[in-house]
Amino acid sequence: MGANLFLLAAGLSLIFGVVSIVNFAHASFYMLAAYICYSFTLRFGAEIGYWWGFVLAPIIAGILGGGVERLLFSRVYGRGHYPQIVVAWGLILILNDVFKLLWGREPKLIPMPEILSGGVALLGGTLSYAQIFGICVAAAMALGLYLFLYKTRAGKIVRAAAADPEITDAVGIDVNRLNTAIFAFACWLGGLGGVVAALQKPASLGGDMEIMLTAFIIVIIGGMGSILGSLIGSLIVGVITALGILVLPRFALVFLYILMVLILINRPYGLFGKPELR
Amino acid sequence: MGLLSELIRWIGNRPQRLGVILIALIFIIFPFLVDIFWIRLVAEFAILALFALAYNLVLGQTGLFSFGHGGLFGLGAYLLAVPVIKGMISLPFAFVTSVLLTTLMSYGIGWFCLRLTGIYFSILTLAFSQLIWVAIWKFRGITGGDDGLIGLKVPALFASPRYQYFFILAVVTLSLVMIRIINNSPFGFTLKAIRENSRRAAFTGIHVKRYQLMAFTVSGFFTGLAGVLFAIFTRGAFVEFASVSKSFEPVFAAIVGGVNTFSGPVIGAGFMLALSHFIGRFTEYWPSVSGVILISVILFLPAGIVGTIASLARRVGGDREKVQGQGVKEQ
Repeated sequence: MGANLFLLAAGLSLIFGVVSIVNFAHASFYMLAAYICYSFTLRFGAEIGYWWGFVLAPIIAGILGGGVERLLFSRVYGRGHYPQIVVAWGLILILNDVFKLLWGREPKLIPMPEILSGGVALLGGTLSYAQIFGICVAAAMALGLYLFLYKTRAGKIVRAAAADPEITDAVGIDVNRLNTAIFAFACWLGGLGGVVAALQKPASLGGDMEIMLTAFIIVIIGGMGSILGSLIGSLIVGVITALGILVLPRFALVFLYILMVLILINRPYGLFGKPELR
Repeated sequence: MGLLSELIRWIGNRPQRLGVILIALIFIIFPFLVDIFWIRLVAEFAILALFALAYNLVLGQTGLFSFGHGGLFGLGAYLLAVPVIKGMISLPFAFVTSVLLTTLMSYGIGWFCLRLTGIYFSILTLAFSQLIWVAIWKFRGITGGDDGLIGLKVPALFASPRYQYFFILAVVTLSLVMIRIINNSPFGFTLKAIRENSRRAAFTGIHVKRYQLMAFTVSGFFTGLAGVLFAIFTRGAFVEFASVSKSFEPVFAAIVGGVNTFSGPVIGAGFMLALSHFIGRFTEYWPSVSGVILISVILFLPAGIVGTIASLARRVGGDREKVQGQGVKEQ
């Protein structure tokens, strides 16, 4: 649960930190990848199809995300943030209809590949292999992101652009292209989350909205623009949800929102956020 | 005779007054000419227009992008529907208490949210609205959860769609006039000053946060009123009233109509309703149509429909109105 949300939240946070865009439509890309992956399993069967989808579906989501950034979001930079949110909302409406048109109204669960079915007993519950797989992917991505951002030259450029896009532009880095690349990369990350999640939770209409709001809670708790914040945030949200389900199943979501409001009141920019990135 | 010539002189001073009177006459006469479907549609339009106008007090007038008005709308509806359906208090009493409580709540929410600025403000308003939505959804015993509340008993007066229409029309018209007065009062101009440049406004001695909070509260008052009317209109309350989609309805209306105009949100609301009712009849894919419209308006008509028409008219009609300052916010 926390794992795929981390992938989504990390992408969201990355876009906000670097491109300064609150991509409300992020979860739609997540859902898009899940649907595409489902189509792959239909076409090639559950065994091979899933792995095709695992590799290709996030890439398709990423390419589409980059295209959308170039075509729509890049036109509203510097016009305040409300046009961005409105554009993203329009995108959500459109993509949701695309899902309805192409994949119908019924939720689509991806058939489990042989290797990932089954699970291990752990602390009284069972941890399915699909969950372990999701955790592994998320952990690998978290490590990869860390190494990328802090150990490579490209990562340094990304951090520079996040800190001050104008100066970064001035020293000869094409920030516009960087923005598109980051957007595409973040959508790829989100798509990966969708593909991993689709094994446990079916892709469904309106599911993107639900997951979007949870991802937002994570990013807000962790702090916008902070990858570490996203990681801690998804752990907190995962734990709170699990505990909430144990204690008072129906109010798990209420706890989450109350927690978010409390954190925002005390630390307006989240646990790891910086004030006023604008 | 004297009255008539008086009327003609009154109109003669400002030609647009004739338009207002004509529109008022149309709204009063037409329910006697058409069937219930249209009466109900126009009543819904009036409520939505009020919602959009209330919202635009915050977005267009003060320059704050709130995401949480769906929550306030739902709050208004449920604060009316719950006590009345449970038989705790009568409808007229609940009408007043609901609007007052929603206003109070929006003061509280605004107080918290306005500690933040920019995008963080928007997100915190969304968080509060989601909190309201989740609370409505989960406290089944009181709110009926996702089944909603139905069977709101209304006084015999409202039983006829036509009388109900006139009641809604009266409340909305009154609110419209009030919002108009607020917009053009010193208070309204202070809000505009904050929107244009909040730092400069602060330098002139305006307590920016206090004015923003007042604007948010006033907006919450009218939003609650719209929610209450909608609960009466639908004879119940549903959890969708507080959803994110609901929060986006006035955003759509205000932006498509034009945020810097008075009539923009009203026109936008009509546009939106027409879209969902008539396009919705041909295809189930009308949300994507509205998505395309929304994106196109943001990219190509940032001033909205009314704002664009107004500036075109101004260009055609010469610069007569330029004396009122650049970027005239009239009409």
